[in-house]
Amino acid sequence: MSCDDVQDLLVEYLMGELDSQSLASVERHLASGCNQCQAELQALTQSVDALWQAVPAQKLSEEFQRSILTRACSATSSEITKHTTLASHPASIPQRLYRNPFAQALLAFAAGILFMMYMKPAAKIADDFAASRPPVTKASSNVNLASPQIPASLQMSEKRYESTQLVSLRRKPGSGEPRGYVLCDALTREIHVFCHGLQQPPSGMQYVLWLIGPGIEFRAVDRLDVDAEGVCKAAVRWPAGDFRFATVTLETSSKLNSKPSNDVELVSNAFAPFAR
Amino acid sequence: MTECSRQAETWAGELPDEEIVRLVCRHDESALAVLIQRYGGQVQTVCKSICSDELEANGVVSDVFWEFWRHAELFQPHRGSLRSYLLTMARSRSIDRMRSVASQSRQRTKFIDATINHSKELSLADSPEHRAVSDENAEEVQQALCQLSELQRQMLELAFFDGMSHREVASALQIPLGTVKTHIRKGLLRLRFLLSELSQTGKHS
Repeated sequence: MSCDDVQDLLVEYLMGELDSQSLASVERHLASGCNQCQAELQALTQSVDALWQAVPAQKLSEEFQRSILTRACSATSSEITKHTTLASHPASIPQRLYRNPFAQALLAFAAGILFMMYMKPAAKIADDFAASRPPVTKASSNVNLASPQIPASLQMSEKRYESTQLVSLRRKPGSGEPRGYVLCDALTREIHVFCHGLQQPPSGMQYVLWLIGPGIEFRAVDRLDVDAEGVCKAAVRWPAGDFRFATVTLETSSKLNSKPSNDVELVSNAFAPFAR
Repeated sequence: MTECSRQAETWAGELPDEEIVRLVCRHDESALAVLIQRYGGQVQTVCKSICSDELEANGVVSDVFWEFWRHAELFQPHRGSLRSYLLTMARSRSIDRMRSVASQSRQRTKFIDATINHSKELSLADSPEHRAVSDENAEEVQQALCQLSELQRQMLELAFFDGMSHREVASALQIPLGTVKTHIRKGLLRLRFLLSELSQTGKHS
């Protein structure tokens, strides 16, 4: 890619609008040490900074600020050890909320409402997928997150799924009950995997999360650990490129192939009906 | 005003962006509170300019800070300021949201004009000290924007504040894509040149 080509794409690069192929080309060119393009990028970066600086600010109510904080922080409150560099100051907003039983009850109620709201779309997506893939029976795909097959502890985590465009739960026909699901969050670009009832992988084997699709072909994106209770939970970043399926398989760890083996155990499978 | 919010305002003026990012990476909730106070208002402006209604816009505002809380480590200072990062994310997530709901009736608030005409009436969510600096810089940007050609201003507005891709701008204005790219790039570079001149003039006067 020539300097002119790269410079034509730099604004879109800064706005995060390039497709994966153009993005890779631009980054490769910039990493090659082209001073001219680096200087152009720096100049455009300063201009964009200035432009954003001139955006007028709305007045956010204190209540709305609190709700943003509560939502953000509640997502990871049980996962992350909090640091209190600033929290040594008295009574920060989120701290007060966390200590307030009423606020906690309200959050739990809101989570329940969200959960109920998204049950129907999830089932519909699964039905649509079943209709488009004749080998998969409707029964195997029309399972929602409230399935008794899934332990209550996995049915709804504290994470937010309102932007999730897919909640699907399937296995290959004839391979028994589903044992997990994969959620693809189009908004945060995250993929969440939940599986249960798994055996510890035999020696030399491992569970692997794959993404499969025209823009990504076959890609092993993560190796998954199973805890003592046979549960596997993982969250990975959604890599660049379109994909259509997310699946978890049991593979030989010594030699991970470039695509899932045909004879591996399929733990869960999900369909992503949208492109990036 | 509570003791807590007064304290947060003090922090908002004291903490530089780099320190806030470092603390948010460690999941310090108070740092996130400062961040929301500092940039939440601008994030909401961008979201409202693209989303079809206030409810949608507020949802995206919340999403932006939620995402930053989860993945603050992805912010790369060498690729622009923290403000740019958050507002670019707000723009991008708003577009995603609107595409996902297939809305056909986007509000077309003219934000560059709004910036030029009304910014002094809007309150910035910063401490008074920080606000004074921001106002001064914003005024320079407004002056520079006024000196761009009408076409350049229009294209920057469509691309940045109406959430259009370059291709969509080309289609909306019936101009070849290559011309749009060139105009936007040159508009941005001219903006920088004008800001540099204004800054020099300010120093000499």
